Amino acid sequence: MIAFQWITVPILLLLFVGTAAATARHRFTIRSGVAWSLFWLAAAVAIAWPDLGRSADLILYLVVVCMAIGFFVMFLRLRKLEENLTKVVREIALDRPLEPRSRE
Amino acid sequence: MRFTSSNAPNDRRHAAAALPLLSPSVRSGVFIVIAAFNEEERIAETVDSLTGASLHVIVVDDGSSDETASAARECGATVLRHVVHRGERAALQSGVAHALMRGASYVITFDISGQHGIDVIPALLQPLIEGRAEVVLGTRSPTMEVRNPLLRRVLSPFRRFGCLRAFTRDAAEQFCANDDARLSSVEVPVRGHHHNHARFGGAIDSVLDRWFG
Repeated sequence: MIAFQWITVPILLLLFVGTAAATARHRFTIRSGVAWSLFWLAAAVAIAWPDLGRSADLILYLVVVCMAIGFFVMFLRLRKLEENLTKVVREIALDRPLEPRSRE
Repeated sequence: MRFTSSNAPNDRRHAAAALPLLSPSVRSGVFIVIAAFNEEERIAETVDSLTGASLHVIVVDDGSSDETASAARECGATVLRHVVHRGERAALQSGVAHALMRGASYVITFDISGQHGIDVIPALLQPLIEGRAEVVLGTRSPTMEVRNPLLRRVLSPFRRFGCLRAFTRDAAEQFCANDDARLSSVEVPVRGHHHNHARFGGAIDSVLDRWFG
C-alpha cells in the first residue's frame, strides 16, 4: 500500500464506523445510514484494492454526484423551512393586528 | 423628503379631494397595503396622505428594529407585525390576507418610498372597476410592454416602480396563494418623484427581495 492508501483508508473506515454508530443511535434514518455506511465501505475497499480497476476515480465521481444531490436536497429542505417560517410569522401577525391609535 | 403639492398633497383636506373619482362605496372597499422595514423616519408622510383620503391602510412591519409600527399606528394605519424579517412579498401577502379578512373588494399594494402620491390610485383602480383586468401594475415604462408572462416576471423588478399594484378580491386571494402568475394584468403609467433614497436603494432592494427574498 502506498501513503495515499494508508491515509485515506483509515479515514474512510472511521467514517464508516461513525455513520454506522450514529445510525444505531437513531441519529440518521435507517435508509440514509445504511446507504452512507455502504458508501464509505465501498470507498475504502476501492482505494485499498485499486486493481479492481479505476475504482478510486469512480468513487471520486460518485462523491461529486452525491454532493450535488445532497446540496439540492438541502436547498429544497431549506426552502420548505423558509416557507414554513413565513407561514408561522404570518399566522402570528394575522392573529394580533394592532389597531390604529388616535393622536387626538 | 417632501411630496409635491400636485402629486402627493400632505394636507388631509387636499388628500381627500385628490380622489374625486372614487365613489364612497368603492372607496370603502379599497384597502391599501404597505410593507415596511425600518421606515420610522418616512412612513408617517405616506400613511398620513392615505388615511387622510379615508382609505383603509394596513402596514406590515416586516421585523423592523425601530418604531415603524408605532409611527404607522399614530397615523391611523392598522399594523401587522412580522416577528422576523420575511421579505417584501411575504409582508405584502400578510397585509393582503388581512385586507381580505376585513372584506376588501380591491387591494392596492403601495410603495413606502414616497415616489407616488395618492393620485395614482384612481388610475390603478379604473381597469379593475371596468373589468378589464384582475391586476393592475403601476409601471414606469408603459411603452415597453412585455407580453410573455415569464419574461415579464423576470424583468419586472427593473420595469416597475417598487410594488405598486392593484388587485381585485379574487386576484388578491391568488396573490396570497402564490398563484398569481397567470392573472390577466394591465400596466398603467405612473409618474414618480425621484428621491435619492428611492432611486437606487429601492430598486436594489426590490430585485434582491424578488429573487432571494
